[in-house]
Amino acid sequence: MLVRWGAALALLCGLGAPAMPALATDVEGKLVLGSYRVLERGPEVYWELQNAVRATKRERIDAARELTVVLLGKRPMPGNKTRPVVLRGGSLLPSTIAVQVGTTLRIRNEDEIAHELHAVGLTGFSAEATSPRHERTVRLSQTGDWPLRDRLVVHVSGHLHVLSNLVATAQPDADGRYRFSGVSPGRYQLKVFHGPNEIANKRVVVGSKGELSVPPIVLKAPKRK
Amino acid sequence: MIVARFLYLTLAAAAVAAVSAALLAQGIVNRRSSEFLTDQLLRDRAEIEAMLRLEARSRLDRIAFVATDAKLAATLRRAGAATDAKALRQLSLTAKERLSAHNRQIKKAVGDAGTPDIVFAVDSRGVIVAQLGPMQANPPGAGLGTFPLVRRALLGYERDDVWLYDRQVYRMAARPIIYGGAYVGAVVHGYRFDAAFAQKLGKALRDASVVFFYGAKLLASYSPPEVNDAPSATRLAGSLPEVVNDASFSASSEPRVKELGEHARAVYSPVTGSAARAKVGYAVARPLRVLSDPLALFRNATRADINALPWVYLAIALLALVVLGMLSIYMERDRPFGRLRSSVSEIVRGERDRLDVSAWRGAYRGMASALNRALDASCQRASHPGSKPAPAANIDELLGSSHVATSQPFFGFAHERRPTPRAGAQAAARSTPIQPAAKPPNVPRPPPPPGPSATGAAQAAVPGVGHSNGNGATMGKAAAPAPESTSAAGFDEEVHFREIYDEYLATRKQCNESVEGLTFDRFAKTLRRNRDQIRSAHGAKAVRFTVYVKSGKAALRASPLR
Repeated sequence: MLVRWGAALALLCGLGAPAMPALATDVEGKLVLGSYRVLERGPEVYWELQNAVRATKRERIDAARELTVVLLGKRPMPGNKTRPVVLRGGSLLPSTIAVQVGTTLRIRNEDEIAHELHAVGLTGFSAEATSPRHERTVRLSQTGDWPLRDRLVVHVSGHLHVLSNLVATAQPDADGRYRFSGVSPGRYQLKVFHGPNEIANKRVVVGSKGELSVPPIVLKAPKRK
Repeated sequence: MIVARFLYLTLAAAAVAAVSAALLAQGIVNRRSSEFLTDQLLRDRAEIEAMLRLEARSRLDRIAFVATDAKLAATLRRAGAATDAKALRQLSLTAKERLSAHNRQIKKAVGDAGTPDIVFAVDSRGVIVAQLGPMQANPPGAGLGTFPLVRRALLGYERDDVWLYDRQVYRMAARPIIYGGAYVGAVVHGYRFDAAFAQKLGKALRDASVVFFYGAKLLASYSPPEVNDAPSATRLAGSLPEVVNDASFSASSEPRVKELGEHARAVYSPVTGSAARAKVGYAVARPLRVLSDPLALFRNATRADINALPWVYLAIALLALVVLGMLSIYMERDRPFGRLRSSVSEIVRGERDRLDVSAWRGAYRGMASALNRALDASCQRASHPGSKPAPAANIDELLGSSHVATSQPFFGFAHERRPTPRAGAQAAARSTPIQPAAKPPNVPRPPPPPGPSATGAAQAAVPGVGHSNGNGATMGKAAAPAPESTSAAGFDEEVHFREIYDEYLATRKQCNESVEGLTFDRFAKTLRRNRDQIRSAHGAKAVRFTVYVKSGKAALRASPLR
């Protein structure tokens, strides 16, 4: 009897029955925004006055729009995927984009005005009008990073990172929480990008447990060059 | 004519200096005009910035009452929390009605020019709840939260900006809306750059052309119609590609001054606002007025300029120069010419034989000498037709006749005219030992000797008796004899006469003059006659005669001895 079950098992293996997968892990963490903000020099205006009724609020980073958390490792994700990006609220969402080389960026315009998005210095991602409720695709076939600008909506400011060892990406929420799903066990580098700047870098070891909680990462503003 | 020549030279130099001054003035005026124009354009730009700043403030103030609309505020608060699309549409309609009512109020207060071209009411996330303008038909839901103007308004700031929105350029303003102690949204409105706005700014600058542009495209323009050479919008637009393609145009708010051909200049500047990054800006231009030639200085003179000239001093200077010129011409030309003419007339009338060359200077002296030679030549030709013999000597012509009807003996230089009987006394009174002003005695002319007439030649060739005063003064060109003793002691008159006669003959021969008919008896008779006259006039005991050469001819001089 035992021999029969063993032969059956061997036969199944020989027929290529799927091996038992390693246990994928969800990696989550929190970015401590605190007082993190990068002071950008806004456009000059004639008047900016505080209202006389209520105290003004402090400028805070829009973590969901401006930050990207990535896992980098030896087994990157396949590059033939499509990454959706939207133009909403007058700008890119997310504005900091990290993709694996070979990915196709699909940009959808959800604003009521046209955009002409382009990556400065990247051939193949030139300024092209995208009408409201329309899409545009761009295939990214070389690694590097480039600023993203818009000819029609001049305040649009983003950054594109095309990586060769990208394992997973995650967008934090407004509170800075992020989550990677289905990460294989292994050693990874966890990085946080804010525009062109890498504002956090942490080594992460993902085990075979189902979940991994990364200790909070306190964000620090990068030094001005 | 030295003074006259000096005056001519001075006048020529003054004329050249005046032309140089005019050319220099033209260059200086043109350079100053160019510098002034650049300064004026920079001032224009500063004025436009001040006007735009004030206009931005007025835009902000204009929506102050909108920001306090409680009904609008409540609508925005509910819209911010709405999850139902239908409810959101209803709230949108309410908000739009409020915005329309506010626009009517603005129009009523400030007119059509004050009515905004685009208005938004956004919730606390920057999502458009209602809008008026080109896209007012769009359903709510589009966002403006990332626009710096809206983002800052939602934080509580009252702010202005310049937007490029849907390929249109607007002058924007935004105010937060507070309701129940919380920021519930913002009201945002904007105005296009149109011809009326450009005209308003251009008129305020006076005679300036103003344009607003987006890249190489003109948004609005104004050129003053009353200025003939005001730069046109087309001309300004021609320089736009070069201006906006300059990478530093959007990066810096510094103005740029550019030439528009040879006769205009403009200053270009990006707008103050986020649209500067999209190459939105404005330009102010003025004509460059230069003088095309020095005469334009006079064409451009105003009545005030003319009245400011020191006319009295100019008239005095003109008068003085005219008088000086006339005086120099009179002194150096008219007067000597008149004297020359008068002397020639005397020769014609027979009152003199020849001209006194020493009485003139310069060209007139040469003219007198030439006239004398001409007289000699014509006399010679008249007396010796076909040949040129020397004229016969005429002692009486030489020494003067004893039939002079004047008590004043001929006591002068060899060239002097013999005084007339009437004028003799006056001439004697006027004459001085040096100045040969007295006329010689009016001696009837002796008949010409036989043969060729020698009268004229003799008259022309040989002057009368000359004399010297006690100080030994001599004639101009004459070869003055050596001064001799003035004492009559030991003076043998007959020997002296003989000596003088021999010397005179020899001198005449040396001067190629004829000695025909010149006998000692006649010569001595004449000498005695003159001796008597001089002795009676001057109380001299004796008279010494000397021979000398004057103007190439032999002449005699008498000196009293005491």
